[in-house]
Amino acid sequence: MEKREPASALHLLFPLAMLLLLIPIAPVSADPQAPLLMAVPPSPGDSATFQVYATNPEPDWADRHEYYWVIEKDGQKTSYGPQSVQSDSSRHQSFMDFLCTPSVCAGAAITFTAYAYQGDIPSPSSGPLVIRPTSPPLDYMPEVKGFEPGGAQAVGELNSLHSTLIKADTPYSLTVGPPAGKLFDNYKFTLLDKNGAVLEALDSASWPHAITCTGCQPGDHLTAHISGQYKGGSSRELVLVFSIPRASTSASVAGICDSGAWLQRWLPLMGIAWAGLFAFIGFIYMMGTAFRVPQLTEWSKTEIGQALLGVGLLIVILWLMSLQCSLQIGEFAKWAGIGFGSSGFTVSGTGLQPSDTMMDAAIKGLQWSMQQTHLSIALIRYELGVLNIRATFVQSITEVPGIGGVGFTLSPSAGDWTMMGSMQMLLNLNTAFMLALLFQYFSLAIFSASSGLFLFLVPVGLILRCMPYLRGFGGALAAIGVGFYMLYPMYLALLGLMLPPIYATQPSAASLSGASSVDQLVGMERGVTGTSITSYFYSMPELPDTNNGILRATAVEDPASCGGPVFGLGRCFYTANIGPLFELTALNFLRAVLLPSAGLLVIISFVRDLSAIFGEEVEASKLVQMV
Amino acid sequence: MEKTKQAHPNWPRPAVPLAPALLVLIILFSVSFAEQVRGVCMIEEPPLYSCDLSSVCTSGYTCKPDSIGGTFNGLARCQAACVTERTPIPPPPPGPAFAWQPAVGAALAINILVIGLLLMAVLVLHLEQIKGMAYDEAGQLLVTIVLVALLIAGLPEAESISRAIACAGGNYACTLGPAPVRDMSLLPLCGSMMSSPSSSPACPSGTTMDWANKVTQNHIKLLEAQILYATEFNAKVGAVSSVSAFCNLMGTGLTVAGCSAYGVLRGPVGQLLNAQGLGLLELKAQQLLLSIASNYALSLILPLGLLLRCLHFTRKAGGTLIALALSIYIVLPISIVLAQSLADGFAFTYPSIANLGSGTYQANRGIYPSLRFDYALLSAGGSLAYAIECDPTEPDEQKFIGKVQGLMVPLDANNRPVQPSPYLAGTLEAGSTLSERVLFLAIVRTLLMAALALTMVITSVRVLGRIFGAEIEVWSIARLS
Repeated sequence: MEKREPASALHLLFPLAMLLLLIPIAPVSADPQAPLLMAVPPSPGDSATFQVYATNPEPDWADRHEYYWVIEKDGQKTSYGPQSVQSDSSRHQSFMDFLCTPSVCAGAAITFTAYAYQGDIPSPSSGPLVIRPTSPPLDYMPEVKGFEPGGAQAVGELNSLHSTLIKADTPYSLTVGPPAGKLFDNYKFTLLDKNGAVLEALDSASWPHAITCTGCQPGDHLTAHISGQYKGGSSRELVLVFSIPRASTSASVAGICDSGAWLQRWLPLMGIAWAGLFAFIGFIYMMGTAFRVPQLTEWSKTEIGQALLGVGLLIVILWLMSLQCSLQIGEFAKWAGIGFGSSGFTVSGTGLQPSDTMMDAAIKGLQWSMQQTHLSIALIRYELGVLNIRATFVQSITEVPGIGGVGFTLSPSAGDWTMMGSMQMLLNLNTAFMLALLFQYFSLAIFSASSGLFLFLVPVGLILRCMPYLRGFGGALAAIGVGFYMLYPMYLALLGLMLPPIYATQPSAASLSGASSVDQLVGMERGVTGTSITSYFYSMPELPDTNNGILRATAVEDPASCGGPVFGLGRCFYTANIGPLFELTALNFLRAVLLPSAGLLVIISFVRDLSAIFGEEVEASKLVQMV
Repeated sequence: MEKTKQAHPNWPRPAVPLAPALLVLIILFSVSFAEQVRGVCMIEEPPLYSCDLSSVCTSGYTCKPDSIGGTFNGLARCQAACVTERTPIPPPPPGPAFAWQPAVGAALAINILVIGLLLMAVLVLHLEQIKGMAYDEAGQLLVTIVLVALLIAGLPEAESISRAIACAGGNYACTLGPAPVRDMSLLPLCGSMMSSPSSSPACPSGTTMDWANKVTQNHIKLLEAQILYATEFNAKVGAVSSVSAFCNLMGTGLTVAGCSAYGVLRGPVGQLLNAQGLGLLELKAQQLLLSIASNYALSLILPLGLLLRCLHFTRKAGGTLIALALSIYIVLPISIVLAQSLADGFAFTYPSIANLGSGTYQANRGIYPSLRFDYALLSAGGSLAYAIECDPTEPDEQKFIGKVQGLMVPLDANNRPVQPSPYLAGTLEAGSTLSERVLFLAIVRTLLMAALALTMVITSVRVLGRIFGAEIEVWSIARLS
């Protein structure tokens, strides 16, 4: 008989033990376990529904779940439930729809708990799940209702341009409210100085609110950030800029109308020169007579005649000076059929008065041209800045979310890079035009003003003219002085008279942008973005939009769909329309370059003729090449 | 006289005053007389309104109030329902008040008095030295008086002659051949004469200045619209070229800018934009010059010139001003009209010009290659594949080539290749591309024709300036322009 080893029995036990391990252990207890709660975050919108899920993971199961929730709002708690929901077919999960209206959810914290049931046997309570729905942002923003003592014009500027001009150390009263048909129950107000330091910060502002720029200097400004709240939702910020206008920096240019003072300075010198000349000529005549040299006597007679002619020219020049100072622009306006308002031309006009002399009218005309050209430059630069920001905006669209993601990026305004090239060219052109105007202004000051070359060229020229062998040179100097003194201001005055009525019917930088001054345009620029870049509803800077969007070119299939908030960026796809800017440049070209150059031709032909009469013809045509 | 010349070498030689002035007078009267004898009549239809809205309604059509569909860039937009309305336009405003006559008359009177006194002094006191100068001044005064009389009497005749010439040029240009142009607003001159491609040209009422203003305004509108179309196309090209795809997984991934090839088109389109913009700049300057001419040439510049001509020292400057005033008032408008008649006549037989756009707004935008980029759909959560035509992960080479071809190969408004017709054989039809068509509009029609008009004006200023005693370097202005 074979003897069994005792280990063989153990060998049998081993697989039996393994078998026992493999058999699923029957539940010791029949009670379900506490479910796990999960919720899809609610969308920030009115009446948004979100789901709360209760899950019993395998091997647990549940026939149904009962949901309880507590809404805590404004310090009060309200309990709700139970809401019984059957599990799905897998018997592991159920979900409950929860309607989140602003009245329920705005500013509230909702705590969910749930119980799993197997038959009638409940599980322990799940852990709390707290949901704090985001209040939807308001799609409207505050409006300025009143601004005193600025009045309706200031209110209009603040609502359209978000900027206005104020005076330093003057109290103003600002009133803000919601748009028609909308409500705010609270306002946040922040006031910053020019350096961005906070002067005031109120979480609950009331209107009217006092604003004073205390101790401000020309060029300073205050910035106010105002946002409204309604039922927990916040509006976009309204940014208002209050600027102190800069002082005029135009150089003072006065005409020469006090001939007495001028004569007092030069008459003694001219008298000495003429006396000496007469004495010399007399001496030569005596020599010629004494020594019977007819050439000397003839020469003396000629020179005496020229000297007397020089005295006559001085009298004529003095008469021309008085004529220049007595001639008023109103007389030319009558010929041209141009009328003056009660205070000169309109706001964008020159301020010309009928009683203005030629010099005054010339200065006002040039200042008007420079102001308009400067505004054009500021507008183009503004648009360039806006396009620079818009062109770099990149939007990312994730189509397959996950750890990383798959999707697309695009830059809707990338085409603005091309527009910027054209705009840069226009900026350069207008800058050159501005330089041309400044050249004319300083030429006027140099040639025709009370401290200008006229007071040197004419007397020196007359003195030299009387001297033998220097007649040509002296005559040329006098002719240049007289020509530019007489005709240059007259021509610029005529331009300042003729152009504003014609330009009033043309588009201008002021009518396109809505800003009548550079300070105002710069003020607009400070408020160009309303919200922080980290805001989900970031506001891209916009091109000026005052003349029915003439500065914008829509680039969507249907322009009617452009406008109104669009989920996401809330901005329409558009680019800059550069046509009006080219037209603006043409207007500036005419008043800065073409017309003044045409006038310069007339002046130069006059100077050339005059110099031929006075002494020697001067190559004044070379002056044209300066232009 | 010789002794006088030697003693007074600085006095300028007297001009030839009477002969040219008399010659001009004879020509004016004879042409006017001949015209009346021949009984030349111009067919004038009742004046028409041109649709002052975006370039949809052609000349002679207005929008029915209920057909105005929203706004497009600030302009009301007509839908297709344009109807013919012939509403008389109000008469042109009265000309500028001739308040210059008293001032000029007073200046002449003073000058007559002074010259009379001078001549008396010369004769009585036997001042031989200034006798020549006195006679010269008397001659110049006589010329100035004759000039004033000529201007008062002859200006209306000059205006009617210039109108007759402009009308003849326009009639010829607008009847050169069959009119395949669908939209008369593409032809600034013929659009002001014809209500539709099938109608006969008729000269508009009003002066040549009014006509030149109208033609310039039509031209400006045409160019403004073309700039907008190019701008929109450029915006879409830029946006499409920026689309790229990314795929990231836990910090590792890739980005593919599969649509960046579209960016190549931005360069040529930018050049087209600049060409059109400079053309618009030139047109606007021209429009302003016309405005200055109609408002101030006769009322301010001319009388100032006459006044300055009375004085010895300012005679040449006065002559310059007179020449400038007459040139910009008479020659500038007719030169604009004639230059545009040249361009319209050429474009009339250049049917591809029709493909610059016609009909509704949608068709107008089809002149550039179609490019799907629906940002509104994308922002509303639409699929990229439906919103944008370029898929960066699978960029379609043929689609991109199609855009290039659209710029460089003749395609019609619906992106179909243009089929040459038998009667178009020998024309430039086969070589026409969008680029060429737009460049014709910007460079040939606008810049070149404006330069031609300016050359005519400047030449006129030189000729008239010589007649009135001035030597002017007007070519400096041409260089500036």
